[in-house]
Amino acid sequence: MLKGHDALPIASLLMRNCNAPMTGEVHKRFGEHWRNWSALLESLSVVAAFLACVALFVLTEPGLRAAPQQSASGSNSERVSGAPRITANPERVTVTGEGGSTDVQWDTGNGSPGFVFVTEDGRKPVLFAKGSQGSRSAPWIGRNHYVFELYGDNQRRTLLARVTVSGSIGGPSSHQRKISWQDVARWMLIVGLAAVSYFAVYLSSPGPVRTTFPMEPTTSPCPLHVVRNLALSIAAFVFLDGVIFHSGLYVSILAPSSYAGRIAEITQAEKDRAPSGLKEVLVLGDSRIAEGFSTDLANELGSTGGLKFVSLAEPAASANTWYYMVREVDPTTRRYSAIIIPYGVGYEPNSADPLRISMTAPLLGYGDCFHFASGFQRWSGRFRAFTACILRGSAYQDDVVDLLEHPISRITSLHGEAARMHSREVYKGRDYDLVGTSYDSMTGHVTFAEKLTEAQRLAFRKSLIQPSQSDVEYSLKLQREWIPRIINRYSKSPTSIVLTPVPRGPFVELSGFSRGYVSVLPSSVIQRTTFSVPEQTFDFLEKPEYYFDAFHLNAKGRQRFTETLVSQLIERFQSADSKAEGNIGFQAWNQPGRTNTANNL
Amino acid sequence: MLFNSFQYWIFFVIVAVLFYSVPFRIGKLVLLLASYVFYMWWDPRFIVLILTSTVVDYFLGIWLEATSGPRKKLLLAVSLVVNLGFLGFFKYYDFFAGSLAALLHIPKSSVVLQVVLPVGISFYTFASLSYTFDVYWGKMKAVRNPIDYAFFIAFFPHLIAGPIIRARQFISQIWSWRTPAAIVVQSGIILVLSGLLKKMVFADRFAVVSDSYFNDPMAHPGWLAAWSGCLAFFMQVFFDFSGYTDIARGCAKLLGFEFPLNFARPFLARNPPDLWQRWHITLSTWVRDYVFMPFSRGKKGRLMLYRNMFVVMVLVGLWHGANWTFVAWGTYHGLLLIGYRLFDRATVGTAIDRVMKQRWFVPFSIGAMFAAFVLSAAFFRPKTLQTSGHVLSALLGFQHMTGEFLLTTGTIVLIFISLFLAVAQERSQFIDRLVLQPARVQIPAYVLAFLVLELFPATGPVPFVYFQF
Repeated sequence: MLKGHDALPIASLLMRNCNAPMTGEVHKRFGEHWRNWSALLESLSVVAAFLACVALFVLTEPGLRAAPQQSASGSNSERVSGAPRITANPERVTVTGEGGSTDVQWDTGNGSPGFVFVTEDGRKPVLFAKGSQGSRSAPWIGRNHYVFELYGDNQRRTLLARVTVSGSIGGPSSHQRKISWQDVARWMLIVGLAAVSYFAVYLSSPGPVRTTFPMEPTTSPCPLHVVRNLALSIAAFVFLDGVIFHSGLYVSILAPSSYAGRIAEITQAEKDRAPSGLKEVLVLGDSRIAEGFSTDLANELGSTGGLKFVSLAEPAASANTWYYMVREVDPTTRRYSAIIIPYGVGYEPNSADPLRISMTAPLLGYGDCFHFASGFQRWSGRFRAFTACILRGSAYQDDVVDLLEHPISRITSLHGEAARMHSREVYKGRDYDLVGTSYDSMTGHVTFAEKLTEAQRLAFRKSLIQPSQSDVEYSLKLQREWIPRIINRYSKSPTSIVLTPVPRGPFVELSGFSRGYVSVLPSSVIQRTTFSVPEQTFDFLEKPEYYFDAFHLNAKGRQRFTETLVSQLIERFQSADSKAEGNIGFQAWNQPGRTNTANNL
Repeated sequence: MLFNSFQYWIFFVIVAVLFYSVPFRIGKLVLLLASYVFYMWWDPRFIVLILTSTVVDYFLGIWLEATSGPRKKLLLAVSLVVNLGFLGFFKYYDFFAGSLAALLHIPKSSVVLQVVLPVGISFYTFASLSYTFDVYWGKMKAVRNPIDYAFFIAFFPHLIAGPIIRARQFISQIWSWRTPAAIVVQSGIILVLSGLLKKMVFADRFAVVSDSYFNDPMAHPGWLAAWSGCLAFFMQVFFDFSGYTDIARGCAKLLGFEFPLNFARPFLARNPPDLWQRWHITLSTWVRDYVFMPFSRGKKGRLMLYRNMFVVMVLVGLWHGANWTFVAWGTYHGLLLIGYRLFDRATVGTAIDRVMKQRWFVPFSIGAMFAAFVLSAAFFRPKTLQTSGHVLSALLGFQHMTGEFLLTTGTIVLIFISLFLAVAQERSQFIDRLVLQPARVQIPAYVLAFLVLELFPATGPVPFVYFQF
């Protein structure tokens, strides 16, 4: 059926054309066009015109877009938080007798506090507004330059973003000129596209209305090499995917605000970070730890013990992602003195499989296929995960589409890694609580405290998810499978593995309270760690005053959680030091060759 | 088991391996059993329908051949009653009973049975009817081998959503089957890839825009929103259905069978008759050969012609679904056909006719036909006539506002890519020619197709639109 190829070398086979005469209606048509380069040139001219229009579209796209674009949002590269930004509209203000006006909008991107200062023509900066995000009108713009700067602190030490507003007198402002340029571009685009469409359709209809349409050819004048061509194509495709997506080439341009982009960025930053010379403690976790644990505070508290804390906690990261993150940043298993792993009742919907795959993809290699895929509950998830390991591009679908639709904004967003990392470090947590708010799990009714804003209420409502039993079980499965894998990885390493429970929520009616910690991880797993923070340690935090929604600690809770965890850690290790007489424990950390054993404390 | 699911391709590979590893006479039994498994994957209960239809038409075919006179007509009537009876009951009972109840002011719940529509019933019923008609008219001999006949009805690539195959085209292929040549296999692979691209990359992306509009047209007032929603919908339907057909044809080729063409660049049609030569060709030729021609035979006069044309188009509309919106859609296309005929007759030999035949004017004809076709989405997609009215008023500008432009950058790019590909295919069978191209052309084309399928599919397997018909 499928002809095998002859003895010619591959290269000459690939270059050989099938140019024997053909018969039949289809072949006749082929014969007409076989060497008809003019037809090809006509087609190419359409392509060229089309590409020109697309280029024009892309260049003018921000001004032309009338409806929200289909982007990565709501999909597996959904934004978790954006880069800090400040904008003014308009930036060039026409000043009349009473002055001009502009609207300033800002957002720190991750909910951290922000301070907007304005400087008029080099004078002393004045605090204009504060808050993690917001907008405010500046109706006093005169014939000067005004620099609006968004800082992460009120001492103006951390500049997050800046915008300059200029005032000028009378006449059509340059902003208005910009608008009219966009109008011109829009009309040029429409005319261009119409011309291309006309030209293309004109080319398609040289004769009278057709009544027959030929089928595909059924005979070939020369031998074909179906299997060889298909096999070579598959090989070339896998190779190309490897070059683009496995080599790190594409990872470097992942949207920094996407889950995958953030994981790639923080993992790479941690990998590149020079050793501090202190005893380094790595903290893993999901959004509960990202909101609840402050590395700044932990470092301050741990400095007396010579500890440095590093957090790789990321929203939506689950235990399998932690495993690959740890593997990436600590290939030798000797970098950290301790790794803190949180556990507790959570939920992981199956529908989030694409997200889990996408965010872990930057950390995967070809050899991880079976290992990674086995962690998924459903066959569709396993298949997708397996495919993502081999064909990495499949994990970045939304990101690639987003890149093609918004290339300029992507390029712009790639700069500013330092600012993003800094804003992550200085993040203090949300500054409001749920005191006065109550929740009835039977009716689902929420009574809000009056002090909460509409946005805060909405955030709380969104967090009131009633996960299904299977979502909860999936979360437990991931923890039970992947936490032991991390422990196994460090079984012959001096690194101590510390398990910590996470506070469950502000109200006992919430689903997080449905199980005890014992049912999350079996005691056999807990016993294999260096030590586990006692289960009741954070019970005191499970109150509305320490939370800003149903899952996440606020700034006050963050502070208390960090203090308690660090003090537990120091206390346990100091106690272990004194008991073990330097054999295993706090002072023995980082001693090469020491083996970690169960219950050694 | 969707054609765009991994599950289907596992199934297909297993079936193909089994098929090629045994002699053809056993192989076709393998394919028949696989087809029944494929059908039962959707809903095992409805296998009874397909088996009944097969058994009835198999025996009726033999009797029809051996009979003549009024008894022959009776046998044909039995076939029609059985096949159309199933179709009518499962597809149209609730619709007509509900409509009658509304007319007589009877509670709808007292007459409606909430009948579940068996997948693919419209397609295999038409295939089966084509056989009895052809035997009745003496265009083909009755099939004596029950396996051959059952295989023709149930062959899985066409079973769910066509193309509608004819017995006299397909049965002869069973009798003269031979291992497909390399070019046929190559062609099959290209068709499968092209179908997957059409479905997963084009159709499912247009679906996002069309769903956002048609899920709540009231929320998107204005002519621009309506036109962009309707345009996206017809692009979705075209790529969805023609993608399905390509995969079906490709799979059939890979197993050594040939299915007819179902779509031929319909958006390049210049007028309504041309559109129906290009859009869902197997349906339009089926109704032409088995409904329009028999009814028009021996009847003279333009009025009769227009009447038949109109009735046939209404039936085509109704074939698509049991809803007044589909009847309205068929009516619209019937009127469009009649209107074009009248216009063509009135202008023949005039300056208008001469201008319309000029090559430079053809793009305008195509544009007008395209717009008229897109307009019909106002009837095709909404669930109620009331919503159709709203969409139509928006399309015609009666809402006196512009509204949002719903197409995204990505979908605009896709429209232009499809325009370019359609033009290239229309001019020079660009895609079909790929089969005969050397490796230096074929391999990059395959790699490009794989990359596009890897990077640009819309998320998750979305069911094919025509499954509901």
